Amino acid sequence: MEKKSIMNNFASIRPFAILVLRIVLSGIFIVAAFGKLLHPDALVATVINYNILPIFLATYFAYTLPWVEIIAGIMLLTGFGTRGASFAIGLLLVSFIAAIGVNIERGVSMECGCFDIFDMNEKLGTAILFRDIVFLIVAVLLVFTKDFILSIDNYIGRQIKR
Amino acid sequence: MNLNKSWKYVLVTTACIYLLSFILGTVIHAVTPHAETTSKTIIPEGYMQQISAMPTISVEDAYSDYTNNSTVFVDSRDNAEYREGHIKGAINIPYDKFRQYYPKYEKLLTKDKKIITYCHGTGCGLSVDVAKDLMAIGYTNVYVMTEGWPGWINANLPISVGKEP
Repeated sequence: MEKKSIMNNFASIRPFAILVLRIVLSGIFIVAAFGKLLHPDALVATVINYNILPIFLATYFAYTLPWVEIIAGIMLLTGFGTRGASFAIGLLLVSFIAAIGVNIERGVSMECGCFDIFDMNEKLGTAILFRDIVFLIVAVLLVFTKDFILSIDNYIGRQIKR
Repeated sequence: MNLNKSWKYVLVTTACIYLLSFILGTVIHAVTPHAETTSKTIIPEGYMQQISAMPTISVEDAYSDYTNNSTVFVDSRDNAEYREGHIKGAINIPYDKFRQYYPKYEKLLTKDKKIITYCHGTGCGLSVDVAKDLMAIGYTNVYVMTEGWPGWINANLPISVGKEP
């Protein structure tokens, strides 16, 4: 009985916690996308520099990347196809983590290219790797969430039920 | 909702996001002008004459000197272009700001070093200007890498982005 009430308490906070995580994660990706869209040539150079994909593929990855960030970010923020958007962001994060991990392992000192907008010139390091892992955990959590408050998905769902 | 059905929905949404992004990214890249393609298309008059009087070096030979500590690469494009991407380790001396930038690297550029200048590639004379300036103050081991930045990029050689060499 008591256990149930604790669970109920948690259940009442959970939707708000999810909402906060959604806003934070989407905000980070939208901001990151703007920096990349403003410096498209620098982004191509950065992706090539990671030295993982052949130049041809790296170039197309660089063209696609900021748009995935911005579209998925806006979808996550507005709660439209929320789980799909979280999955898309999760996939990006997996590729970032792999690319950063490989280059840390190689011992390469290079720029991250993560948030070009602030002219941060972050160097690759375990802190960035750890940050991306935290983002990935949030994205995975969102993919496994069924119901999002203040979301277009939720609104459409209610309209259909009615 | 049926679980299988909802996962299908998640995957379809993700696929749509990636497809839309790929199309947007490729189309927008195709319709916007880019530094690398705009600068190398026209070979200005007098360039061939200018370059023929200069010791030049191919990307391949330059790269074999690259790992050598006694070689310095000098990017002669302007600072904004340098920050967008340059040969990893190259210093920046913009062709029109030689007096301003040269003193920063004076200690690094000892006279015994081999200096390789580059800019936008074939047709670009900025690297020739900087090479001439360097020769005028007593450097003898100066070469122009005529294929420049595009040549280096096409050969998939190490690059760096930002203000650091």
